[in-house]
Amino acid sequence: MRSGFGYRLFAVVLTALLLTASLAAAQNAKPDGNASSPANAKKAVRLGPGGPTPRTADGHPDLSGVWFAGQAGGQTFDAGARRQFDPKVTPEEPPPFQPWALAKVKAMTTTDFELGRASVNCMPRGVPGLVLINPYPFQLVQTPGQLVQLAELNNNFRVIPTDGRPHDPDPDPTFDGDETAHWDGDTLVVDTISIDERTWNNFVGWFHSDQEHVIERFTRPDLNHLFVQVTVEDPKVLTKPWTSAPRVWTLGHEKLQEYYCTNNQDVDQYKALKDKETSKK
Amino acid sequence: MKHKVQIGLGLLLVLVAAIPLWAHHSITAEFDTSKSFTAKGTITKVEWVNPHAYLYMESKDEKGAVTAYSFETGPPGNLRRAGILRTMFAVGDSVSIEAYAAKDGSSHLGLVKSIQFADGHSIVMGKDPKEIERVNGKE
Repeated sequence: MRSGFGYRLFAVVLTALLLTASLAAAQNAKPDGNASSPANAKKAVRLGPGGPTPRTADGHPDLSGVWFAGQAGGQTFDAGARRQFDPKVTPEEPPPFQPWALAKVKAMTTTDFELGRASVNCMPRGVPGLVLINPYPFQLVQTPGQLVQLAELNNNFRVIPTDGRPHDPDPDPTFDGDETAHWDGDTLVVDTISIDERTWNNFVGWFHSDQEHVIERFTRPDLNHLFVQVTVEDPKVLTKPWTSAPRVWTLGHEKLQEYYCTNNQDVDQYKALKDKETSKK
Repeated sequence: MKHKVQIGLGLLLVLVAAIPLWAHHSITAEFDTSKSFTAKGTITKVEWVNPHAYLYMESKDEKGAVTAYSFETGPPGNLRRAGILRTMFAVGDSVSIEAYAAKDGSSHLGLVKSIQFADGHSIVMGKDPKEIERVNGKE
C-alpha cells in the first residue's frame, strides 16, 4: 500500500495535470456503450449570451430549457463558474430576523442545523427553496398560460398559472404553496402564499411562518441565461422584506437525471449525534 | 475486463470529479475531512442508488481475517454527469480506496476520495471537500 502522503500527492498532482483530458478520454471509451457524456461537465466554460431571448407566439420571453445553477450550462468542478452571484457586485443581506426569531436561530446547535436541513432530512425544498437552496438542475416548460418547473431534486414539479389569476381564497398549506404569476414586461412574477411551515429557506435555520409571502422574478435576458430574484415577506418572523441577489442559471443541453433524497442512514447518524450533544448538557 | 482495457489504454488514467458529488448533505457533518484512510481489498457489491451510490469492499489481512467496508460516493446522476458510471466498477475488482473517515467513529465507513484499480487506473471523486463546501454553501 502506498503511504497516505504519497498516495494523496499522486492523486492531487494527477488531478491537476489530467483534469480535463482524462474525463474526456474516459467518456470517449463509453464503457457501457450508452454513456451520457455532457461536454460541459468537463471544463469550466462560462457561457456567453448565445443569442437573443427566445420568445413565445404571444411575445413573452420563453423560459423553457434545462437550467443549471451557475454559469457553465452544466455540472462543473470550477467553483467560480458554479457561483450564482458575485456578492461584491450584488450583495445579499442576511435575513432580517425579528429579535425572537434571531434568538431562536442563534440557539440552534450544529446538529440542529444538520437535522433541519432538507438535504439531510429529505423534506421537499418547497418555495422558495427550489430556487434558493437547489444546486441541482431543473427544466422549465412554458406553455400558454402556465410555467411548469421540473426539478431534478426529488423529481419535484410545480405548475404555475401565468394568467395573473387571484390566489385561491382558501388555500391549503403546501410545500410549494398557492402560486400565481403574471408578466411585468419581460419579467415573470410568481407570487406564492400558504407555504408549509416545516420548510427552511436556507440551510442554517431560516424558518418561516404561515404568513410567508414569496415573490420570484424570472427573467431571460438572452438565450443562455436565466435569472431569478426572490423576495420574502414574513411579518411574523422578519422585520422587513428580504430580497436575494439575482441568481443565475445557464442553459444546458442534456436531460435531467433522477435524484431522490432517500435518506441512506444520515438521519439516524445525526440523531445519535444529537443524543450525544444532549447528554453532555 | 473490456472497459478497463478501453479506458486504461495502457496508461495511468485518473478520472476527476472535483465537483459537489457529495451534495446530498454536509460533508463535514458526517465525515471528518481531516482524517483519511486507505484500504485495499476486493469489491463485493456495487450499489448504484439514490441518493448516494455505495461501494462495498472486503479486505483480508495477513492472517486471513476479513474486514468489510462501506464506501459512500455521490448521487448517481452527478456521477454520470462527471463521467463516472456504474459499469466502471465490478464485483471482484481489486482496488485500493482512499476515503475520509466517518465522524461517528464507524471505522469501516468512508467517503470516497479516490479508487485505484489493479491495472493502475484510478478514479478520483474529490480532493478537497472543505473547498467544495465553502464554495457551494452547505448542501
